[in-house]
Amino acid sequence: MKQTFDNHFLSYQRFYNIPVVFKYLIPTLVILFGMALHVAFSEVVGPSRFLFIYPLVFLCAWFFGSGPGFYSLTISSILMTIFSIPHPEGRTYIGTQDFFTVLSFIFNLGFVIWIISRGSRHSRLLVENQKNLSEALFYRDEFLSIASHELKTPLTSLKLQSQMFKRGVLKNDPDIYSKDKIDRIIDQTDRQVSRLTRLVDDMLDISRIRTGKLSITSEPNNICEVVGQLTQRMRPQILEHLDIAPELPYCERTMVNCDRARIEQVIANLVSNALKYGQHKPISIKIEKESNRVRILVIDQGMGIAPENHKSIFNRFQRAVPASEICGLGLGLYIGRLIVEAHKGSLTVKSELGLGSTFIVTLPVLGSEK
Amino acid sequence: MTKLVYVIDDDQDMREVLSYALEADGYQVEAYENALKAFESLEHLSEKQLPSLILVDYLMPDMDGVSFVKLMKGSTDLLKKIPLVMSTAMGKKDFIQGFPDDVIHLSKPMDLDELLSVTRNYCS
Repeated sequence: MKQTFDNHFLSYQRFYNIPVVFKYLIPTLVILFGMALHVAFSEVVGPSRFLFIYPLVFLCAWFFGSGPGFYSLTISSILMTIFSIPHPEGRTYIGTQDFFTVLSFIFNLGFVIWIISRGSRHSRLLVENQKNLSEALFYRDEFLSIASHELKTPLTSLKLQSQMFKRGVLKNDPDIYSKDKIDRIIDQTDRQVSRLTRLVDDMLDISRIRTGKLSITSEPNNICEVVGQLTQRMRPQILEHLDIAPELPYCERTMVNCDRARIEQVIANLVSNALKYGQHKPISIKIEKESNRVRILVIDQGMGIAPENHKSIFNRFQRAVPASEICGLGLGLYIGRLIVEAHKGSLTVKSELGLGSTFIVTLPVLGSEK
Repeated sequence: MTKLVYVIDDDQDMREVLSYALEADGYQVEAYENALKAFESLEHLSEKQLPSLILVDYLMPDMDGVSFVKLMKGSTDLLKKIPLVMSTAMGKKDFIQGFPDDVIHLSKPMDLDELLSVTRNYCS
């Protein structure tokens, strides 16, 4: 209830398009009108000061939302507080002192303190929001810079390659058709196209997530088979970085209701990260079953992640190391977390700086999904 | 005499393709994955052995292009004189905070003609 009341005053503006002069002029006129009423009637009905002013200024505050409304409430209550300050001679500075003026003084003073405390809270919220916004803008800008670098580097390679080939053909250079040269061009082109495909896939996934269109088509799968076959398929890629490829230890058949391609995408990303950040030390992949959950662990012995980054690495555009340190868009773990959460599971990390990291995908076993 | 060009880029394919392009145009190329190692190698060279041009990437691990340029500009008079070309994916050099004024900017993806023209211009 308090939150609703605050929201009304702090963020709700009914008349955005009213000129500023009217926004503040009208509340000021209302205050002056209220004070005139107070002066006129205080001689007749006694100096019960707040009774006339507050219904009007409160109505004004409600009508004009946070800005001018609070302006009028603040100004009027400050004025009323000043007017009702008790005089040493047993009256107020503008009239006689009775029970109502004392009550008015206490009420108005309390109201001013309340408004100031609200104001400072409001300022704190604004500062906090501004900080979050600046952070979000920083990450967005950094993402654009990285995305641009990551996309344009393979494009440069492809462009220069094709132009060099064209130049060789135009010059009738026989060397350009040599098997070695053709093989090299094909290998490079293939690598760059795969790299661009991965980047575009990640960006498409982000777009699908933003529009709520990330589709998950679940069906019963033996998770040991899924992870085992993926590990085998990734063997050549792993052996480019390491001397030994990890073998999945024996794993008892465990059925999980999942979108096989998506879960493979998550595990492949974790393995790829383990290779990137693993400082060329061996990695391992394990599957652990515990009652109604199954845990897939991807373990590296690399640089590790500082505790303060354990949560933020799963956010969009965030990574545990500076952008220039490692290539990639910094979207993999974010996409992975959302895919696993769409399977009613979780993606977490256990890590210490310098001691490597263990990424854990936890999924519900078939029949135990809540 | 064949002119020497240094290529500094963390991306293996970029190093290879830039080396082939420049070698095909008659330059001798030394490619480095790491800017600091490239700088260390420069320190041991005599004036005649120094490269005529250094082509450095902007975004790299350990030491980025801007830091490398600062290191070069703060070193010996001989090293300060070597023309530097920095390739970035940022379109214009104005988009990069702290981009050094006296460094030539090449925007990715650059044309082969553009690359060779810049190289010829500063190696002559």
